[in-house]
Amino acid sequence: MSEIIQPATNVPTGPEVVQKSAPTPLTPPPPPEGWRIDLLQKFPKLKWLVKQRWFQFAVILPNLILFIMFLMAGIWGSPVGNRNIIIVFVWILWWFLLISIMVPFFSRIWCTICPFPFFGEWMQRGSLTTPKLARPGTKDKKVGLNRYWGLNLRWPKALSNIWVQDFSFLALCTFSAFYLTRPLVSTIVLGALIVVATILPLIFRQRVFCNYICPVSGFLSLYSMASMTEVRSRDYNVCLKCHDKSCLVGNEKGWGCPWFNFPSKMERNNYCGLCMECVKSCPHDNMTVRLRPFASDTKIKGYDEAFKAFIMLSLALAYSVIYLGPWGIFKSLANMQLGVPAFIEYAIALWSIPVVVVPGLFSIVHWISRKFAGGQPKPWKESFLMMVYPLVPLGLLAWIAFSLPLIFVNGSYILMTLSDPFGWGWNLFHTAHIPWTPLFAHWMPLVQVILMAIGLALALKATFKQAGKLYSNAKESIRFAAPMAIFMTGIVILFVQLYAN
Amino acid sequence: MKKNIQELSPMEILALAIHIEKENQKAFISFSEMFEGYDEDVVLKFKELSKEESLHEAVLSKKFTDLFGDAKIPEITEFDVEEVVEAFDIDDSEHLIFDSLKSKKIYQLALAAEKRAFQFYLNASQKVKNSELSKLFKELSELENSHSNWIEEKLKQIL
Repeated sequence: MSEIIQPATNVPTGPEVVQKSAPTPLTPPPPPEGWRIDLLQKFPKLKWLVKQRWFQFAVILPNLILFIMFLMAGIWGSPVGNRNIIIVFVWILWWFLLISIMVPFFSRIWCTICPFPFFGEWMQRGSLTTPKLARPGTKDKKVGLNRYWGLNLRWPKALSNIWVQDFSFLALCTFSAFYLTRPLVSTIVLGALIVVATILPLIFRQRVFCNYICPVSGFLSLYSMASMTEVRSRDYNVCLKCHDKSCLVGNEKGWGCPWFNFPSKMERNNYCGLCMECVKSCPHDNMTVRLRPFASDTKIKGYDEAFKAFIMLSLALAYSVIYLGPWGIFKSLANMQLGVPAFIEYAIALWSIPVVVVPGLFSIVHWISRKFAGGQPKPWKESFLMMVYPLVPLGLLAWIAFSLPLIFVNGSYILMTLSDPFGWGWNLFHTAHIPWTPLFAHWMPLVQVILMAIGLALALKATFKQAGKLYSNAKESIRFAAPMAIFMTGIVILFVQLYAN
Repeated sequence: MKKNIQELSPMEILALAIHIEKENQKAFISFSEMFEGYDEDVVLKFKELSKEESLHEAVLSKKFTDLFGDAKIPEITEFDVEEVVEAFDIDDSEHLIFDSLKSKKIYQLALAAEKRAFQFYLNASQKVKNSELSKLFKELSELENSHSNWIEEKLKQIL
């Protein structure tokens, strides 16, 4: 038999060659830490729902209608912020739901229903629901097996990161006082985003707006790491045996991952928009949605993601000072009421905290940690990125702490604008004239302090755990983690000082 | 009902090996198409590996004909057996997002897949009691080893 089986190429074979290559055992990736609940297995109706081709269209459509109504309210409605639905529903209700409910519990479920990419993706796909297959032998524009319209260019390599999202979010936040209070400005900002989200898919492949541009997507990406929901393959071996790679290249049942992820191999939530295309396209029914412990993904991959963590944490603190603090001067500065030069100074200060101060302090503490730990440290970048991760649960809790008063103190505006969305004097549900009624205002500081304490506990736990991955020696690991833990505690003390006072 | 690979007949084992090489070609072509417009070398590596797999398939098909004449190749896939025999896989789900896949890495991943296949057949040859099967597994392991060597040579050229 052996004389018949020949190598395909001219390389030597035989036992003597076997000795040269140390065989690699077939080992699947380590199982995820903590429990998992397969939601699609547990709830067959949910599985049926997400497998329907019309699923995403059905959840985006009502949201899109609402969104268009909000934009119209911004143009033709009352210019008074708290009497206009675009301000109250987007910046109070939506923001609260997004950061306090959706992200912590349901990952990027907002991306499932987000109306921004709707028109662009529709034109790019040439279809609202049914996937199209590229016709062999034709000049169809294709990605994998699916057929697309538009130029179908690839996104520039230099921009294949989230730096644009980092700075576009920071830029948006610099002018936050304008669109948070002025309906027309909100319409212009949100309208501009939808225009960009519509144009880009006609030029570039897949969801480049969501992956690289959308300022909201940037922080959803970061904080979805902490979320309790994930889309993953059930059995990695099934994916290994699958050569169709339908989750990536698409098929007649589903589009290839619009986020350009390789779903079967997915190990973190960052770039999964929960569109459920992989659940539909998988020929082996191996993709699912799972429930998991909070803060399960721990890998920060690059400095762009690290800066997102710095930016988000810094802005949570800055916003708490500007919008929740007792210093009216900051609100006036943010609102350009003290003149353009003062606003520029404010903007420089706002940018320098997340771009210079916090990363600088973090780097110093990280350097001290490495010196203090002794031993053989891992490369700087590796340990730096590992230790940025604890800022993810901490930052998320900080944003929840910031957002709670928004909904409890200003929640009554939701009922008011529900009855009178344009501020035109309507009273659709007889709630237009209810007085402004802050709820649990006295309890807010306590709740905020508790939330920050939970954030600190999670951050400290993550700090020591990450340090344990960097140093196998327990003593070195603890010495490495200690300065970082003090740094995290210092940050939380700042928040607590602010909220408690 | 899935079978252990050692429960298969020689004909089925060879049919499975042919099927795997064929499917691997498909996977490499899929990857090459997904990376169109990215690093040209990455695309070329995938295409090269696909071509290489087609050569492996041809060798195994010839072997099948030599052993079993004009007999029809049984329809058997990796999903009919419990084990994973030979599977190339990308190491990071976000390569397309960050354009982070290097051509050298493709060879390294392909090498890992070939080595795993080699180890798999070698283990099977040692475990199985039937001497004919054992011999077949051994030959398949040697073939996979030759593939590994081919990739190692390629890697040396890159270095």
